[in-house]
Amino acid sequence: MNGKIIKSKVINLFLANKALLALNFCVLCFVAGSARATAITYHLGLFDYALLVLVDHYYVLYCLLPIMLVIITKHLRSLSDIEKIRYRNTNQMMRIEILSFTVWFTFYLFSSLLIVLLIGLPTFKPNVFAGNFGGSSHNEILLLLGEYAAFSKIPIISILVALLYYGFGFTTLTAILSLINNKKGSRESVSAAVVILVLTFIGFHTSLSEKLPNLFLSNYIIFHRGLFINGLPSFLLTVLTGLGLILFALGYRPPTIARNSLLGELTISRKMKQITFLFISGLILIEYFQLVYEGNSNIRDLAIRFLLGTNTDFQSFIGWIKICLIYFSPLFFVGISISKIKQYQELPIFMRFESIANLQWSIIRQYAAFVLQYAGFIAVFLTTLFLFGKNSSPMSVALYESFGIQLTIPHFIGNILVFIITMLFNLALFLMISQVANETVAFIGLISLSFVNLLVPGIHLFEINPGILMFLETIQQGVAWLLIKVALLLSISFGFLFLVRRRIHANH
Amino acid sequence: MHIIWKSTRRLSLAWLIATFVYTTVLFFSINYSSKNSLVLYPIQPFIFGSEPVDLFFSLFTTIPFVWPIYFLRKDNFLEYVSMRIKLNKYLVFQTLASLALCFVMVLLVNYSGFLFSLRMANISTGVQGPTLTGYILGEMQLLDPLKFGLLWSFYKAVIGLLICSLGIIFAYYVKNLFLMFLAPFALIFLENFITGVTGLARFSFTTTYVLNRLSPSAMLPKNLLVGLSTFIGLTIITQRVLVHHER
Repeated sequence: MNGKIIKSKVINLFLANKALLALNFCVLCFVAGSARATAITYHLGLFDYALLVLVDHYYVLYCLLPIMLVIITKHLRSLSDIEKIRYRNTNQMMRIEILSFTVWFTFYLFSSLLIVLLIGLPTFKPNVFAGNFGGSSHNEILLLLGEYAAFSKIPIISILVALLYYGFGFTTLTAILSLINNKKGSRESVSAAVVILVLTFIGFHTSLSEKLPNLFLSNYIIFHRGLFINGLPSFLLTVLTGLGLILFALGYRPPTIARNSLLGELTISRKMKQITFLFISGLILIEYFQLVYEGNSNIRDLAIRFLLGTNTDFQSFIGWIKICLIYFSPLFFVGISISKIKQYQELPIFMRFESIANLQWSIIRQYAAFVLQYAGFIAVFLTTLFLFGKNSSPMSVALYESFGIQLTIPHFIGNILVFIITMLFNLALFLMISQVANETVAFIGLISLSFVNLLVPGIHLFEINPGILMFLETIQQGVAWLLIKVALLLSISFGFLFLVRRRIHANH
Repeated sequence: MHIIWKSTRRLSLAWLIATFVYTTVLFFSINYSSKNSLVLYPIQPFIFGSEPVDLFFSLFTTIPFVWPIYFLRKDNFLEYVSMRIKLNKYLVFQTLASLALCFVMVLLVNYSGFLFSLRMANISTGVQGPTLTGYILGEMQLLDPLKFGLLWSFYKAVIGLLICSLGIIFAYYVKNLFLMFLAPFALIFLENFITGVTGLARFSFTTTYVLNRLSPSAMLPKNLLVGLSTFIGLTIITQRVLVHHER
């Protein structure tokens, strides 16, 4: 059923935009003809020539983009009320609109490729591997082809990737306009199309598109602008944003955390988990934007800087606040939960447990699970960033110069393990103090202890929020010293849990 | 008047404890700074010593003074009060008592900190260091520290009132004791972090109450005014959000 609708829509798209497509065909032929002379001069092969024509950003921005904007807005406005009510819901309607455009655009792209190849075939010989473009470093065309050759030695792959990226960019554009069309109406979608066009030109002609990559459409459409000019972190963020928009418009929503048991909702509720996740994502985004602002494109540095912390020689107040926020934000929610349980201690659910000790053990298990989930998320995310980043990142070099230790993958994983163990230890310490005093005192106590460690780093009380700097400093003192510290943290954490567990048996 | 007096008496023990703790920590910090840094001016130990303590300023100005309002509401006392006296009037008296005690505490502790600093300062002679003339009232900081200390303590006490007001708003609307106690601290802590990483520390609310926190070019009255206005705006928004949430 959907297939038939999409097919008829694709045919309609071709028929309704004949004039525009003819105009586009003329411009493409002109661009292909102009590029012929250049390609002959540089002795390019057929596929290098096709690549040169298809990745011409002036053609894309001044011809393809305006034409596509007109086609997309016409496509979205063409829906009659009678057609609208035939769809099951708005989501299905938007899905059909986007999919039909994407299918049509794929046809369009391959026909463009075919046209260019046909124009080039009489003059150029087909080539499997890209030519050598390293010689002339001042020629814009050769530089561009050289970058694509560095990306892939086989020009057909480069062409397909560039075309795929066009498809991605224009599908994102359709998703945005489709969302606006459905929420606000067709007039607003036309205004939005104009704003997007103006923004794209502004971004293309200024350095703004490098500083705020997500805001400008040129980064979503033109592959070499998105990846080669902006760098891998910006590119990944752009792709993720685009995919998010497309999926959202197609009707996919972020998965919601399953509702907990009643005790789970009373201790760490779903809302708390979502807030914690958003909070930590916000911290990561702030760090990422700082990195982009500094012109550092290595995502390994994001992983290192996020958990950098402070040590004896490097005492940064902001660095300390950040590491405090990372370590203590789950404890803040645990504190809220303890206070909530005290507030509602007469609830019937608590009477279902065999004893108070049993209830306490169940609650502590919930807290431990929450803290481990939180630490696990950070651990997996940062380790992935570290693995995919380049070896010689500026931060790795700086750390090597300071400590004489190369921060390798085993080191980083070691640090992540210390982070998880310390999170558990902090929870145990927090719960111990809250049992003796109360949760507010416990929280202030932990922050004060951490602050004293920052002000007087030499005293080495309990290091309750060590970062990479502290980890490397400890390794410098000896691996045995690190193991002793970890053993101490583990023994206190598990000792506490063991004591709580033992109380249950004492109760029976 | 009788109600204010009773409320003040209720808070007196918390006030005494808070004043004692705040004074002890401040004096200890001033003493530590005086012994571990090069002192060029009499008020320098206070400048160095009060900075770390100011991280917890929002806790000192809220926790001891806001809990009665929380418990008045939690124990449903306010429902019975409304039969004898207008609820708003009663709450205003409660708030006034809290604010007055907070004001006096901050004024007293900071001024005694100044006096302690002048007494402790072991000025290094013959060392050329940066002057304080670029800062607001920089001349007065150098030449008349006693008068400046009084002015600064008064100003800081006013800021203490602002933070205490935010704490009172949380105490009145938030049901969770832990969140109520720590929300102003958490907000200021976060604001400090966000302004710090975005390079806008000169507009931070924390900058308004930490003496000579940044370079003289950043410590301009208009910048401090931005920080104060932002905090007042944040307080108003918080109140509106909490009212909306309760409804």
